[in-house]
Amino acid sequence: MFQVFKRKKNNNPEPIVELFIDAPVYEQLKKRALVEGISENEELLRALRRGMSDYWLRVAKYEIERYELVEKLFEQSKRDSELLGAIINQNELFHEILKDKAK
Amino acid sequence: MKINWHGISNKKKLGVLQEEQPVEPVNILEARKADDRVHLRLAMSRGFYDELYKFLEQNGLTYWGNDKRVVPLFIQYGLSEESREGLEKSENDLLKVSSRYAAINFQTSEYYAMNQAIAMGLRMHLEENKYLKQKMKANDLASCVSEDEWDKWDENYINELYRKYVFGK
Repeated sequence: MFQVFKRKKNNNPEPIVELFIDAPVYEQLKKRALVEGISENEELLRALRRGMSDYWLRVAKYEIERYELVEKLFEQSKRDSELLGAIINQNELFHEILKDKAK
Repeated sequence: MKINWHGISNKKKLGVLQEEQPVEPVNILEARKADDRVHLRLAMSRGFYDELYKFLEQNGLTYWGNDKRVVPLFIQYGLSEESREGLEKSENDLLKVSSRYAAINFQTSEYYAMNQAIAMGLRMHLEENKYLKQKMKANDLASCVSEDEWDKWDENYINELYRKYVFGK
């Protein structure tokens, strides 16, 4: 009987999401909202939707940039490998020549 | 139709039947600056929240709290002024190089492991090489000895190789 004045429980509360974004990104959001003449909430929604639809294209762009870096690393490590391997091979060859000469 | 108990007007406070109000899909409740970042507290409509998390799940982006990292990226990407044509070109370029990419990625790690093993004892190998070259010359085998690139390596270059392959810097 004492529950008559109990506040009704909200069974479907709005989900709360907490996150961090870089300060320049937030400034850009505010600026864009101002330019477009819409609220920050609307601009944020647009950004989220566009970001979701472009996500895999962005991943592709990142991978292409990484590919260029990996290609440079590949060329460099290949060249280093050839030189480092050549030192070991030359040492072995000289040991053999000197061994034959000593016989 | 639903009873809105949390409204502002007296009618709402009295629990008068209200038409369902369209909720804004995203609502910035708080934007607090913390160093070079901004902490955002967002209220989302159930519909948009479900849409967002469905996308994250379908794309395998929810592992280990990855959503906290990816959602800010959506905002950043969405605000970018880069053209979609440019991004689509990257996708096409990636498709063209994907097999070579996989191959050189693997091969680079192979070279790296090999170079790491040799770089660990590089000074010793170079000393040995120098000694053997002298010994070859002393044994009238100078014709077999050539001037090699590593003969010109100074301490700085050797340290650089050591840092790169042994410490991975």
